[in-house]
Amino acid sequence: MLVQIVVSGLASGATYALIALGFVIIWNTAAVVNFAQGEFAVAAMFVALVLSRFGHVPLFLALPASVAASALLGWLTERIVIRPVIGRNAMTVVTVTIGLQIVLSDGAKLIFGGQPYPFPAPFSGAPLGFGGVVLPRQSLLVILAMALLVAALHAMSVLTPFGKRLRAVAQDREVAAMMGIDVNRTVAQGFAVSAAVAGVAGVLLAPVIFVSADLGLPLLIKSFVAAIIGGFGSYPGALAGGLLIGVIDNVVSYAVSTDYRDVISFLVLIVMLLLRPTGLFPNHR
Amino acid sequence: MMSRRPAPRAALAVAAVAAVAVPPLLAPYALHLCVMVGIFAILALSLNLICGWAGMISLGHAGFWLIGAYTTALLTTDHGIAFWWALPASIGITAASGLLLGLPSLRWNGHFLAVITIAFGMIVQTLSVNWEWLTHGNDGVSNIPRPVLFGHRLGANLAFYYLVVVILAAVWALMHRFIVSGYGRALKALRDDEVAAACMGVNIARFKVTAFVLSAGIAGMAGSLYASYVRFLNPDSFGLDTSIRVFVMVVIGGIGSIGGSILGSFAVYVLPEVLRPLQQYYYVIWGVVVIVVMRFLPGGLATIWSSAPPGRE
Repeated sequence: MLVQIVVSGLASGATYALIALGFVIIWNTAAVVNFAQGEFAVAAMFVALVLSRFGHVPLFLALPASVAASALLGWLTERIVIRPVIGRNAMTVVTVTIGLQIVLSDGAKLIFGGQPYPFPAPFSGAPLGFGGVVLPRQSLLVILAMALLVAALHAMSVLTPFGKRLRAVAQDREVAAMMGIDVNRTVAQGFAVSAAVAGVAGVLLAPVIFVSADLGLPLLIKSFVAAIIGGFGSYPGALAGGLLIGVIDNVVSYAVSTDYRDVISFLVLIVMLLLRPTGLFPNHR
Repeated sequence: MMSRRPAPRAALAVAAVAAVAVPPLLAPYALHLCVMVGIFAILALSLNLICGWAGMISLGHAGFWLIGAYTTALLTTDHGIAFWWALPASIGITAASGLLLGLPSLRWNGHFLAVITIAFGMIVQTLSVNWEWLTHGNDGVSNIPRPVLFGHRLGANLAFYYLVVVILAAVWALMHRFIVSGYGRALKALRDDEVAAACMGVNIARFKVTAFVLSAGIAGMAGSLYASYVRFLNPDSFGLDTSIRVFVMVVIGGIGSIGGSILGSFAVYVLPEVLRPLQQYYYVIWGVVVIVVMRFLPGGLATIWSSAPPGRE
């Protein structure tokens, strides 16, 4: 039983981890705490929903299309909303992203209303059994997809010129600019990658929960906490933090009560910060 | 910060006279908005103390507001205690809860503190839902009495409005005294450079904790007023979105500006009402307004009068 709870916790944790990863990508490249990060995931959910349910596009086409749409949204966010205020007082920039969060979530509510929509699972069928442990297919798919995506991102970061540019800008904007890197363009692309990662998390999460316009803020909080637990700015930290929160949430819901789930998760966060104030992976970027 | 010319004295005088003279002429709903603006202005001022002068971020102020509101609500209904005793009790209990956030602020700042304050707000709200023996859970607290002053019950919203205005003016005066005092200057030094401030002999721990306690106490006062004004409380009004809303009030109005917080709560509370004819579009437009104000007036609405070019790069 415990194994099942942990695995389904890992599955929801994997989606938090991906959103946290995107959140940290933006923090590292642009020094922006993006309160609209959860909305990128929600945008991908709604695009996938519209394409598959109302447009009757098959899922294997609808999912990549929705991730691309969310990447475009991320890129536009940087160009239109973030770039004019970049480098200003941190509270100004945070407020701008809060404004964007309001626009996106209430925009979604305007189009789709407040009600939740069911989302079709890409792989239906009976849960798989492994020696007495029964695991839903979707949970396994989510964990597998997260592992593949992280491997791909790592390869991109290490092997491609784009990944190098991204890391250079994250390390030092000014020096990167002096080395001939187009910083603005790189940051905009960083936003696109980050939103795409959040979009993947969104479409993975969609079949598990109902899609609705007010999911963005709770997802953001989970991923923000994940990033903090992991050590703010660290990629492996964001992943580990997300998985940990997913597992803690699930174990607490099962062992204690769902009423106090958030309270206990937050207390765990505070205790962890007391014991290890710099997070799990303080110096990994 | 930037060189900021204060709002012309004439404008301030006109605003003060208008705040006293106009409300009797207003329609009931507009008067209601004025009371809410006053209450939120007190709440925004309390947050501004932390964000504007101490340079720390708090996204959990709805938690303090909740504690203040519920203290007054429960004391005046379940225990039959008069408002004028419940108000100081609210301030005291909320100020004590300020320690809960003041102590972590010694150890963490920036994003870490932001997340901890979010956690605080959400924990307080969750407890107010689940501790039914104390708070009546989702049913909320109803029939909260209005204050009685010199034998008169402040049942009319206009009378309550003047109570709020008097308290707001007192908070304004207190904050002003506080900011020009050595204490306020120490907080500003701490905001600008913690290490340098410590070297100059500023006791950082004491100042940070005091800022949180004082801010929480003022927020508790706003909560107490809110409870006895709306007369019905429910945990829904005290979520993260409320904390974010108050934060936006402070930043839109002008970080570190007393008048700015009042202007900000006016803008945040009244603008959506003005936009209401646009019906369901109004929240989206409100979000756009936030982005645009930050783009062109990064110092907030308080810098409309400022001659200096906005922003410090």
